[in-house]
Amino acid sequence: MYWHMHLNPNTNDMDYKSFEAQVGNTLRTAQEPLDTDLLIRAIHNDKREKSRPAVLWLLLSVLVIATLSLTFYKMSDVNVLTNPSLENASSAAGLMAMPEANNNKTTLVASEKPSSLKKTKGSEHIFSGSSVTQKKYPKQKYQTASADMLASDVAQLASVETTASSDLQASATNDIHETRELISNMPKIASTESDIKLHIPALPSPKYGKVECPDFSNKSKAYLEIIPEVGAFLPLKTLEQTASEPSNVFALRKKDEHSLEGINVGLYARLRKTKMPFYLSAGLSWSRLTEKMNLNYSYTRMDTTQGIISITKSQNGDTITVIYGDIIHEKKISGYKIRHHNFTLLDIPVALGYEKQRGDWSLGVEGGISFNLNMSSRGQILATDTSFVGTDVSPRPFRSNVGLSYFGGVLAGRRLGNGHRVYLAARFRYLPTVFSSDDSPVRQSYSFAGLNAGYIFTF
Amino acid sequence: MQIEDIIKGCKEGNRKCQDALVQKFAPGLLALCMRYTSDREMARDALQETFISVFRFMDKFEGKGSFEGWIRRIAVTSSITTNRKYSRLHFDEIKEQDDWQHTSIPDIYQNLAVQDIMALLKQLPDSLYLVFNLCIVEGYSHEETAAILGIAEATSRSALCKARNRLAEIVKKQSDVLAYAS
Repeated sequence: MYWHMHLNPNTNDMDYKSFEAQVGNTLRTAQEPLDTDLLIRAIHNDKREKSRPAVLWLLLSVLVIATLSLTFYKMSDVNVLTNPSLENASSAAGLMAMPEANNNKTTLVASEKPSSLKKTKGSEHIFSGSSVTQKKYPKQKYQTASADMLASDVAQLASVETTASSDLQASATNDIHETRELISNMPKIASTESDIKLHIPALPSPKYGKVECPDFSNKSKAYLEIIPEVGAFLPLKTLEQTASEPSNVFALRKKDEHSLEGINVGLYARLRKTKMPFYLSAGLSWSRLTEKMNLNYSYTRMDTTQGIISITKSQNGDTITVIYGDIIHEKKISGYKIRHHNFTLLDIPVALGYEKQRGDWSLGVEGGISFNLNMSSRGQILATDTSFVGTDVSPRPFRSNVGLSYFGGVLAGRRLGNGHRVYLAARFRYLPTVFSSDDSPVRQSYSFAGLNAGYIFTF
Repeated sequence: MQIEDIIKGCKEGNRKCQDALVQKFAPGLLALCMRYTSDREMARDALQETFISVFRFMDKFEGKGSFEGWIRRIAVTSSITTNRKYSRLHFDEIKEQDDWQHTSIPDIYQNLAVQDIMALLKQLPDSLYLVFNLCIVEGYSHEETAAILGIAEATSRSALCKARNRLAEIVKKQSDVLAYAS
């Protein structure tokens, strides 16, 4: 203790009450430096300091895409031409409309036997006539033609159908008569109305019988695609000093401030034309990026008080010289602080793209302009060697809008079914406007390199 | 942000106001907590408990007295509870006459730094140290001190008297030693 060494019992004394009041005041007004942000986080049980590895975001994206892909793959697996139950469904649907059937396609459909009805004991003989009809028609050829639908097959299909048409014309008429008879006999077999109702629900729904026909027209038709998209990006930061004198704050920020991975979510509409590989897309994009600053600091605080620094006695002992002077208290303060500040951007990106289809796969490139609607910043940035200030201080250290930016990228997609596709896009975005305000001594600007995954719904 | 706005915001559960309250009072309260606990880590725990209690019971603060006084009172209670040594302290119930001698203190004790004062006070027995802090530093009456420590008012008076005498003795002893050395 300093005062031990400098105490002089011979100086003027003070009243105990004054001493007590001084002790009370000193202790009452004492303050201890501490990391209040850490305390705030502890109070609110907040775990913001946990790092968010980039791998986690990528893994999450892959997981979402995989789940969606699997779901839609399962859905698209219910194919009209390859699923026998659907063939039966269309047959059953045709059977109901058979009396009016007058072309070979309808007759062909009507001739097929629903497997579910075969198992029905009472109705077995009703369809015996139908099974005879089935043998007469070239079902296999028709299926092939419907499935492939290539231009080169069209002529072949026409010849097959013409032949079949002439051969089957007569038998079709017979079939109609036979079937009409069978239907007229139905009430005799099905004893009650309820029996018939019991059989009907067993039939698959006729809605699956829809066949997608190829389009041989030369006309191009416009259509719309809606695309929800998620992604992660790596902010590539540039820090520049505007002041001519070297700044310690700038040096510390440059050394210890690191960009964490950003996230991006978007919803876009894409306008396309059939038979054209180009498209125009626009939408709304939300992005957030975070900066993390690890600050290690250490400094010495010096408090000076007035006191006796030496007492000198004369040789004969009768003269005492007391020298008052500054008593210096040195206190070494060191600490470690972690602070974050983040930016949230709301943009309208407009892009022109080119996409080439190869079977179920597609590859494309796109580029465009992004209009920034708003940019907000939160958190704390380094203000001095040892302290931070909020980004909401006045004057604001960051802009509220970064204007135009440019982006481009490549996309790889996969078709999942009719009107459903997924894609993965690698994009680069260049933001020419600095994020810092004009008054800021540090210019903070960015480019983003990211990976996005999207799902395309075609209308 | 004004303290009235902070209090109002805290009553509404506004996170920003809560954070502002912590920023404003934490350094002073940490120094307080450190006086009633044995180390900085324990003081930090007590401080955290203090703010949790403050946010929980904010509705009970009616604005009649000083907010700082209210929050400091919570911090004192929280620190004494956290420091088990103090919560289990035994007070001598023997009443003592308020016969402490108004002694004079050497002038050098006038501008003592916080750590020097603490070094001086820590030489007092725990019970006397506590009462001295509560009565002299925090400015609580004997009734309030007695309520905080769960003792009789007379015990508090007696303890303060002893504390003063002991402190004066300590100072005198140190002065004598230094005078002899010089």
